[in-house]
Amino acid sequence: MPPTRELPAATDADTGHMTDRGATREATRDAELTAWLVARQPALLRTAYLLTGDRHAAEDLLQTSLAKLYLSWDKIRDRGAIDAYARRILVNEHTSLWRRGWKRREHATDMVPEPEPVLESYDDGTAAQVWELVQGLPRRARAVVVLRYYEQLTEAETADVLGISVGTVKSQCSRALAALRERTPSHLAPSPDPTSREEER
Amino acid sequence: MTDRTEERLEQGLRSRADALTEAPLTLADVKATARTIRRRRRSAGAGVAAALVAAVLLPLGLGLGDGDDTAVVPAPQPAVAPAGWLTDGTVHLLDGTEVPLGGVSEVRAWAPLVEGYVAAGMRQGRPVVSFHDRGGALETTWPVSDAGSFVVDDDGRHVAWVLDTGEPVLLDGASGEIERLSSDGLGRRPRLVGITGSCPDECGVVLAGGSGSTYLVSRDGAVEPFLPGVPQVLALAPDDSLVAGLTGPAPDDIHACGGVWLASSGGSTEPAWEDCVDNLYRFSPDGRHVATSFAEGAGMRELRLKDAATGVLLHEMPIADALDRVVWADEQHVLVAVLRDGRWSVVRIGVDGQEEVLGRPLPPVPGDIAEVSSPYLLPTGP
Repeated sequence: MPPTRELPAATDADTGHMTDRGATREATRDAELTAWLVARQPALLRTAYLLTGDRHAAEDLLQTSLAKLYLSWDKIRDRGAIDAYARRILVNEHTSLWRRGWKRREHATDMVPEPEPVLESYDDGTAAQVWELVQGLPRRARAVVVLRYYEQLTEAETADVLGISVGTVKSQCSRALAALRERTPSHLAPSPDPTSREEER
Repeated sequence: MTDRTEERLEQGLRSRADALTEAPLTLADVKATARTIRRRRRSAGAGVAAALVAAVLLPLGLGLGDGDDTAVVPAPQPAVAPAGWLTDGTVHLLDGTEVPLGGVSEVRAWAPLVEGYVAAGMRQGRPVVSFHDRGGALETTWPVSDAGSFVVDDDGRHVAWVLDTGEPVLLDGASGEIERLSSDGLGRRPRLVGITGSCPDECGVVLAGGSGSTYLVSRDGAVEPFLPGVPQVLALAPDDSLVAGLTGPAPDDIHACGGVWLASSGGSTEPAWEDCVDNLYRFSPDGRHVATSFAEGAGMRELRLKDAATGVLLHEMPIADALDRVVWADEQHVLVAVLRDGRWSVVRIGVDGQEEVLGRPLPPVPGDIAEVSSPYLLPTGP
């Protein structure tokens, strides 16, 4: 590459051929994204899985979201914001209007379900209740729950990602928790505080 | 009471997801999908160019002249022109009038009515729909599940939304009273599509139920399928002559295929026109034009103004860094909040291609990241 000459625009609009500057930029982008994919892709896959409830759908959602991240890579000035940006694309892609309608129909023909990944370290009977509850929520409410209780975002951060009010985040979380309380078996019900326990005795 | 429910929820989610530790996609996978998206966007641009040629060559040859059977009958002039925006809880009308909406915070949607204003925001920590008088004073609030969703009829006198109980309601702006409508078969959170017919005597609220099917809820309590031939109804022309909807995902699974039907066909025939790019539609007050956009995961960036009956492109706005809300200010112009060079402004765009910046450029709302929120909240249109 001749570093001293005046470089043309990144892409020749007429031919579509990539110029030196464009090639350099793409190489840089590829290197950055490759490193980022290694570090962050599993986490995004997990979030996608919680959002979709299905491994294949999660990978499909992840692939589209990462492609859109790739196309926007050069516009993200703050590299520290990439994780949050990728998460926003993923969540909003999942809740986008036309995917909601059509993905549901695609899933109408039930195939033999593949085994679901469950860690053996935590299963006191609640895991299945939680999974059933979360998968039964509307998409946006499910996204609220996943962002708050899996991604550990604050209410304000969750509202920001989804473009909804903090109040909506609070109310949807509250409803999810109430529903989980209702479904929790009695032997797993929340322990009353010590004072009331004493009173019962 | 000590409640471990939040902890159990966190652990339950982790137990499901933490077993996934792979990184299934390579850079090549990602780039291949990106190429598909880019190619689709380019082909959409080529389609736009072709449509521009068609717009020049076929100005009146498609049956829009007077006396033609297929001409769209102009709707009555809207009683309220939704022209203005809201910043920091205050409505700024284009004539310079400022109206603070009292008693509510975090307003996420608003609209002018003949008798005042309707808004969706928060009051005492709960999401509500609120009704305000012409001076912005709060008159009544109703609890809702999601602060930000209501529809207004084309004369600015009636508003519909869904209560937190799941019941759709219709507000008569003259009396400030709501009428509860039937929610049979709609599921817990029906999506509002619009108000059809002529209120108050013969009108109904169009909602999409949990299955995606669309229903017409009439004031007499009837709930019946609405245009079942249109797979996913998105918007209704104010004069009810046209309906926009989606037919399915585009071949790239990125864009959407959709179009516009003659409502008289009941959706039983092919759409009057369709394309496989945009997934948002807004009809002009007279039903002659439609603004369309493609909203993807990162939001809207494109805006097209088309002839509603034919789909012929009249104007395409240059791609912006981001767009927020599109509302028709009159029969010929839309208002849209536009992000360019890191600043948001309100732009009025005509079907003739003329653009005029109305709201001075402002920085994005603090606290955001790469995709930034607009400080300008445009009204919800009919």
